Amino acid sequence: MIRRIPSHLLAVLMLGIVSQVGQVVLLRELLMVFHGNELSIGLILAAWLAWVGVGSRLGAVLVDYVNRPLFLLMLSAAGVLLTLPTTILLIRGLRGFFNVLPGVYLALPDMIISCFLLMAPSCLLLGAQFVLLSRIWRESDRAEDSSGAGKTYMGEATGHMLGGILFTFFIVHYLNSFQSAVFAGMLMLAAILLMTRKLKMGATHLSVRFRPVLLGLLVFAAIAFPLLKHVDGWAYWLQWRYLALQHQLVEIHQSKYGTISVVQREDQYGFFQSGHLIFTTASRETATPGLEEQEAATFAHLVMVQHEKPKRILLIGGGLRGTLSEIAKHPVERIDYIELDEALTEAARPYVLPKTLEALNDPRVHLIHTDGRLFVKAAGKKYDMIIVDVPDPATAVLNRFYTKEFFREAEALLNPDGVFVIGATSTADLRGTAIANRNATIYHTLDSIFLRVLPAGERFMFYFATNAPSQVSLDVFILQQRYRERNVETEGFSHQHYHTLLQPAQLQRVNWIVRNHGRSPSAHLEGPGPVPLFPGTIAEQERAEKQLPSVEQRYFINSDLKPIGYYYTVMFWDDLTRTRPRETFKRLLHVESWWILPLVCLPLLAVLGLRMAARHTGKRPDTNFAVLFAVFTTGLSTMALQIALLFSFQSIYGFVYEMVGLIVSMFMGGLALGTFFTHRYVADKANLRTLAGVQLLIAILAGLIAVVLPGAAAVPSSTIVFLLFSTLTFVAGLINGIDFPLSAACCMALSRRAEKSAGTVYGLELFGACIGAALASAVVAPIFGITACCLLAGIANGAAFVVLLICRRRYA
Amino acid sequence: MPEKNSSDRGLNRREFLQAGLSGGGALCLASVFGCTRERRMPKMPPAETAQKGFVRPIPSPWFSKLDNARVRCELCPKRCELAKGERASCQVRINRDGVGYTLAYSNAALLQEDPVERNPFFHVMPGSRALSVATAGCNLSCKFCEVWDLTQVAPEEVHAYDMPPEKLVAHARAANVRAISYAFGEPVVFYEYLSEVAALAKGAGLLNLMHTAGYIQPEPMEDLIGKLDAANIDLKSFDPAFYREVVGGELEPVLKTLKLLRDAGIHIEITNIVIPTLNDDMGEISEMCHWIEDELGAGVPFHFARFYPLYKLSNLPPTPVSTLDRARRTALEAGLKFVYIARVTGHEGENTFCPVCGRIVIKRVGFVIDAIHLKNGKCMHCGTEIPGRWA
Repeated sequence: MIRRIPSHLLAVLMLGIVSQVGQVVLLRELLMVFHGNELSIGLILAAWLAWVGVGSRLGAVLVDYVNRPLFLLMLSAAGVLLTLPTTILLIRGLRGFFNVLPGVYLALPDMIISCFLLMAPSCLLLGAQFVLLSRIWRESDRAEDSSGAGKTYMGEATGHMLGGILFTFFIVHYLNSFQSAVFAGMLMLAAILLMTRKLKMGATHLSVRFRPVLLGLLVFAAIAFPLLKHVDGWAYWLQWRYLALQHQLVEIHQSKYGTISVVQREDQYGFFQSGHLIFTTASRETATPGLEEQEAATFAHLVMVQHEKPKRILLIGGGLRGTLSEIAKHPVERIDYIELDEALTEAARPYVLPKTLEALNDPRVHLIHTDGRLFVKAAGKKYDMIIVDVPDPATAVLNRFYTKEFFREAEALLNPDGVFVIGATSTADLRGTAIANRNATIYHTLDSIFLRVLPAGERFMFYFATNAPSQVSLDVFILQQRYRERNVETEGFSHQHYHTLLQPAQLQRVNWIVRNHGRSPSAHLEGPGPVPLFPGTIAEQERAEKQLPSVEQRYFINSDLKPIGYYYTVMFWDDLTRTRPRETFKRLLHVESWWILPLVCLPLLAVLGLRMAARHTGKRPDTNFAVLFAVFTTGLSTMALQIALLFSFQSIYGFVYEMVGLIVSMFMGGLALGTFFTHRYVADKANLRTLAGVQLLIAILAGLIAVVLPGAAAVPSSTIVFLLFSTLTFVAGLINGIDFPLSAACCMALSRRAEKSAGTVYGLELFGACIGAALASAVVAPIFGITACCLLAGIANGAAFVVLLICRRRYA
Repeated sequence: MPEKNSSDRGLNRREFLQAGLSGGGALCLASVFGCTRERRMPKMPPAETAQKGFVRPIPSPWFSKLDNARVRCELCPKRCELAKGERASCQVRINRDGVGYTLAYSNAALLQEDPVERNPFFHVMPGSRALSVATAGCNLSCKFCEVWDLTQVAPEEVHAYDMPPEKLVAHARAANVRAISYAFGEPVVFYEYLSEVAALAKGAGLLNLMHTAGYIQPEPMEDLIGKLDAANIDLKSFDPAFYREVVGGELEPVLKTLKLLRDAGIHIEITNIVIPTLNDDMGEISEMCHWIEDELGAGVPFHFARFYPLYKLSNLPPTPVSTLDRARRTALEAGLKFVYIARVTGHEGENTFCPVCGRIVIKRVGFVIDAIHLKNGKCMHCGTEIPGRWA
């Protein structure tokens, strides 16, 4: 017998695609306006999940009330086609709305407000569509149960997976944001038109009448599609008016890593990635190229003299701003220059100074476009110097360059007398707790790998690390001598600059701070101690350091599995942007592992209390609560596990855009397959015992991941690493997929309302995911470690298991 | 004229949204987290020990009493009126039981030796060293502040050395510096401390240098003049709107301070950080330089400093060097004789050129003096007198 393919299946798949594409596009657009740190990524994700959850719940109420699911679906699809591009337009104008000065980042409250307000319309509509399609599917099956929701869930997850692949491999390369959003919206409209092509006048009267409107809208969108290029250009112009007033927007490049914008002001080019200034260069017309790019020259010549005779150099990032050409002026034999984003190099080529172009064409220079960590893992060569010039560790991805594991990998590539250099933003005297914590953490993490580490700098702190202590120095005369011996000819830098760069008193103060800070249990809360009036010379401080108490590992060692570095960077960003004294992030540092207890105890108490209260009523509020709690924890746990797996994958494997996209798709694939299996093979879905079993399964999987992750770094083959993470992510999705139809069925058995159950379960699961995203990325991963994210998931679902067991007897 | 409170202007769109959405939440949270600064104030530390939050509050004469135990601070043009327990926007001046106190006294949060060029004085004892001193707090809120972690915080939030005036001057003498420089932070907010230290320092033969935004009332400034040897005033822009939006103050009082210093014959230098798009209009720079030339004299050294992305303006590109060059040309065309470029180490504009013979009188690389062709305050090439404190 040939099974008929339901006409709404395509619409369900498209819902997944629109959701995935819409989410990524809005994320990229909002990151252009917000500071691109891990907090803003988490916030955008949380807002998306929360609103889609609310949308599904509201959709359930609406469909019950209006009772015209198809018409509502048509309306909402038309709505999404309009709201998505409108939202992008509003995001581009957001800085103008808040009227912030050029160069100023939006503060946390502004980010939260704008993020939640802007995301609402599209997300509410998409959330509602899930429930509407569930109803349509159920009516098409002539079923009264929650199977429609389960099937929709499965189809949507498949759509998400396809959407992810479509975006990663096609959309990001060929379409701008407006085109991406409209393209996805058009797919949805087309699917609905296809689905309704055989409708006749009758019960679906309104839908039939609305069909030509949809068709008209689709035709209009198709005609307008080429014009979206101009809309995009105009919207960028609008955005840049507020991002960098009076700077001429020269070019926009779409890169898979974020939009690259080139702006010009007088004889200076500024390069922005996702709206954030990454570097400036002098234009070819400039009369003073050396002075314009002085920061790059200063960086290069202070760094290069840290080695007596550097021959083989590995430079990770930063070369285009002028550093590469300055490094090449030293008598080196080979420079391997790693840049992640090829689009950035291509965007910069037409504008950088001839000396940078010459350096790129220098036979000694080897430009490689790859992830720095991926390169270091597989390089198999030895270097005299490894220079890391990447942005501050504001995200989990960037934090990978500041971890113990990376430093160890880099150390293995260095010759015995080699020097490793890295740096980060700083302040002259490291007074703030956030910046002192972050920069002391970098120091202590380096110090745990290398024999000697010398920090230096005011606005920017350099760290010179080596296992050959005599190699690095902050002695102006030694450095000047090395510089002179090399006969470097450059503009904008001379041997005299070392005096200005290395002021003894300031050097001694910052050295004292980073060496002494982080050695008491409450140092991360209190900030650095008082610097003595006479902190002593660097040599004296190095001797005294041996007698100091040991470093607090938990808060002052940055590692792949405990990326505290990005937490401190977010905390520092908050210091810079807040308008009133606020210590939100410092307060969060007080968090203790036992704070998890309420998550375990409160639901247990609640369920026991509800049992007692409803003993003689014949109702089952405890069971209802238990099922909903299980739904919530599943959402929370699977999101926490996804974050844990993604963060670790990026550290252990390396950051490869397509691979990360595939890993995310694996989860969605697992989700779809899990739902499918439950439908096909589980006869009694409304069974608390089965649901409890799934909670236990999630808890066991979380525990298993917690055990596997620390050992995964030791796996030598990158293929095995990829397979391992794909499998774990797939299994996490699979169990999540198994859970949904069971929860929906249990909920339906309790409420007897299919769409209400579907909306509630879907919404609550997304709400759990929203909390999971916020908790895991903002607090648990950086403060307790990535393994703790797994434990959080394990404990949460363990609690759900117990709660369900308590209720089981009365309902099963 | 006191500065208007933001509430006087009504709500802007951001405030409206924030108020609407977060008002309720804030009320709830305030009860949990809210604690007044007064409650957090630590006790006096033992002598000789630098300590976080060390304050030595003293009553200040620069307060006038108002009704209902309110006081008004008369030190800066904001003239903050404070109810009991309230603190001024500078974070260091407070009403305690109807008496105005300063919390910025004897608690130096910044104490360091610097070349005098770093403070930045180019016409005062070149190559000498000064002891820089500052406390926490500031009466302005520049969005491009370089020491925001010192100035935009209360004294309770930073480490401070217990440095009464006598001890500070003794410290300066022991360090064998030529001057005490009230710099890096905002000296206006530690006026009482500055005033006492300056009197003692003068007696000890030390110069008193002040680097300030000049946002101070005329009367306290006049009181200080007898003790000062030189002042570097940050004239941040010549646009009143820039002062209001980016600096958090008014332009007019700064100009008054400059005139006051001119009348008193104090050596003045002026610093202007050129920020792309915000205050780099050449017409405005020209107007500012003409005003200086007319009102203060062509011999006032003027420093154009390069802006680097920092603090709230972290996402703004640095000033193109060509903009600084144009600003310097504009200033020279306006008649100013000593125009410098700061924070572009090695730039020709770091040197002092004789306005008559055009040759280099003082050659600098950053804060380092490379060569001095100056004798008794005169150009060694042509004998032209160069204004400044040379001995």
